[in-house]
Amino acid sequence: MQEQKKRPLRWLMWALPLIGFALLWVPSLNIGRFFDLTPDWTYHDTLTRSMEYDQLFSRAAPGVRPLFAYHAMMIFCCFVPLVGYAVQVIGAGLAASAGKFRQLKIGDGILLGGALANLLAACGSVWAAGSAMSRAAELAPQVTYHVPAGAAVLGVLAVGQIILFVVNNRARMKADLTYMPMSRSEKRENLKGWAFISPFVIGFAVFTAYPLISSAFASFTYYNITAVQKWYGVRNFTNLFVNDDVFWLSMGNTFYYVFISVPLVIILALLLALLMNTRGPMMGFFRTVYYLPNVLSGVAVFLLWQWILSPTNGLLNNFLAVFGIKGPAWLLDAKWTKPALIIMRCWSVGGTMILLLAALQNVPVDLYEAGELDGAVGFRKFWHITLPMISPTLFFVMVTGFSGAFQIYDSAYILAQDGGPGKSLMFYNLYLFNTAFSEQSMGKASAMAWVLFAVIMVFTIIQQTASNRWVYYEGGTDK
Amino acid sequence: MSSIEAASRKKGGSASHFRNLSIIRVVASLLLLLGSVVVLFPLAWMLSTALKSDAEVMVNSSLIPKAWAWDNFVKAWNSAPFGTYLKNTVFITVLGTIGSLVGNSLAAYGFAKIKFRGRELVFLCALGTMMIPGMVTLVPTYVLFSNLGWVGTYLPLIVPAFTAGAYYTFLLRQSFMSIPMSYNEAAKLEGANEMQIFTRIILPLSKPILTTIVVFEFKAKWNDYFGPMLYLTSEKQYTLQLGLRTFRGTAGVEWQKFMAASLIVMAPTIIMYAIMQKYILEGMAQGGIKG
Repeated sequence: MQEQKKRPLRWLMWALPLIGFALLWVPSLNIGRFFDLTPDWTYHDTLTRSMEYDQLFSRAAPGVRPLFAYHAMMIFCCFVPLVGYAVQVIGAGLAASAGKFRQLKIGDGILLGGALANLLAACGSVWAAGSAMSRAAELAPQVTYHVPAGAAVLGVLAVGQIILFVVNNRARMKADLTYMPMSRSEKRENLKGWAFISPFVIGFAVFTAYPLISSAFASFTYYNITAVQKWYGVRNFTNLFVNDDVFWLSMGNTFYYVFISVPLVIILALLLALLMNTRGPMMGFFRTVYYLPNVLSGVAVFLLWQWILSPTNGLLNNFLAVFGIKGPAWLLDAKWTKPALIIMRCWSVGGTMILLLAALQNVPVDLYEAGELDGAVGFRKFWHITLPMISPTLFFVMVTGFSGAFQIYDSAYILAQDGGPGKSLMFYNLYLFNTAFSEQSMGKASAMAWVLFAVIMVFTIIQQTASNRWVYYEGGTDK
Repeated sequence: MSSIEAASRKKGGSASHFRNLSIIRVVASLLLLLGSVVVLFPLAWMLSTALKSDAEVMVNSSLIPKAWAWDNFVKAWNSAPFGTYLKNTVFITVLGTIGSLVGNSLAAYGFAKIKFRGRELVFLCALGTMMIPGMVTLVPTYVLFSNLGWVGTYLPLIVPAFTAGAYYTFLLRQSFMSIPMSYNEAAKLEGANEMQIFTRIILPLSKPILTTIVVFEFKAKWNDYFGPMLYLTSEKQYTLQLGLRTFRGTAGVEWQKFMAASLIVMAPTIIMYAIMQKYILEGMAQGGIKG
């Protein structure tokens, strides 16, 4: 076997992205400013000093767009490398972990990612600076503009990286005897595959990837949809945590709802599924009926419940009155609004039940027979055989249940958009929705969305970790 | 290996946690019967309210109306331009469902049946983003549509459906993968191209999961409230769900009319569920779609 040739200039593939990073990103990083919590906008002193604060950032003042473009350029130059370098790190990780990617080594991942990031940053700054300078100079001549010299440096770096990648690849292909170039039919398969998934790729890019990046960016900006977006550092987050009572209230309401409704629904669903699994008569009918509420949703159902829960003439209180109980005012009483919503949630317990029932029906009979031989009956059989066997489904139901319950807002919105009596129905997502679309504070809303994501992630990770102790996968860990 | 073993094992039989099964079965059935009364009662109440006359509705709290006011349905329908709303809703629902079916099944076929570079990577990316709450993307998506000038048109409600979502694609991919690759190879030997294999072999073999997706998409689009609320601006474009909102007038709700209108709006989903419930419940049990 031929000895592997040393790849030329190997150190450069690591060095070039780092040089780019050092040249452009470090000076503009300005860590102190990023965490600057003073209320004044002091990020670009020259810019703010020249014009009134409001005039600068509202569309009311005509002609501020070039200034915005200039500003965008500055943000862009700071931000794109950050994203770019994140991409590089992730890309390198993926390339390293997935051995399937033929020929793609860590260094190449970094190299290509770096080239892309630098190219993007270079184009962006040239574009932004060009459009900004053309008109901003006449608008506010007293402002001094930075020439984006960094753009040129980045451009050169990017070109260098691409050349290096190609050279490297050539060298390796020659060195590696096992390497087979893609055949024509393989190329055709590739093309066909991408053609089939193209609707998916486009949708993913436009409706998932772009909104994700855009929302991550927006969470660090002051962003009112009618005015111009401006850099805000971490103030959205600190304002939420420190100054915002409704934020904590909504978080509390949501936790209340989540930690009562999720266990309740799962227990109820499990009980029903166990009853169904006795396979008595009419089980098909019961299954259909219990699942029915899950296909009904929307305004009609929520208002139906409003009618059922009405304090004077409602169905539920009439029913309670039969037993001499005076029912509470439900949706009109701050103490009872959340229990009311939890009751509503329990009405559609059927979805969870169907999943658990399917799991129960998959438990092999011989396990029970073996258990019986060992003298297990009733509850012990359930505890030692049934529960472990359905634990993967229980786990799935728990994770999706928690994540779904944290995101409750539709029922609350329709029943009480302002959060109901004493804001007792102001759930987190309802507050987020109102922040975004009534207050139009898109930056704050984006920050809130990411906080929620973090909360859900934490809970999922906790459950995942705990699941090692109680979830049993038949046939080992591979399935 | 173990999967074959498992298949030959008799499944399902927790049948007996207890020895004296027949008594347990009777008790279970009775309890379930009670439960289904609780589940169905609100709907029965809805129907009964819809049939009560204006004078009766606040007074008579029994389930059976004294006089059957069938004309409530007509009155409710005419109290707002529900004809237009129905037309709009059908338009959005049908296009959205078709779009979602086409986009998702094409993508799923690509993921399941064609080997190409980057397939696993793209699929992993898609799965990774499924955990992210919808609210994260809601705001930028709204801004995107508003910048495109699409707010006030049906486009934001229809176009995304055509571009396939991770969840349905994932379900369909699972189902397509259970069809042996030898079908594809045989068809290729006969000279069929990829598109023909997709439409003539794979799709017909996947009817149950396709039906499930149709029903869920239909239900989601038909019952969607927030999408139309955010993106539709003029009353002419409103959907049935937005139309129902009009019953929450300032003078309190006219419950009998509201219930009548609600029943009309809910009827298509209920009928669809009644016809397809077998498919849906199987699909649910297999794929774990949360309704």
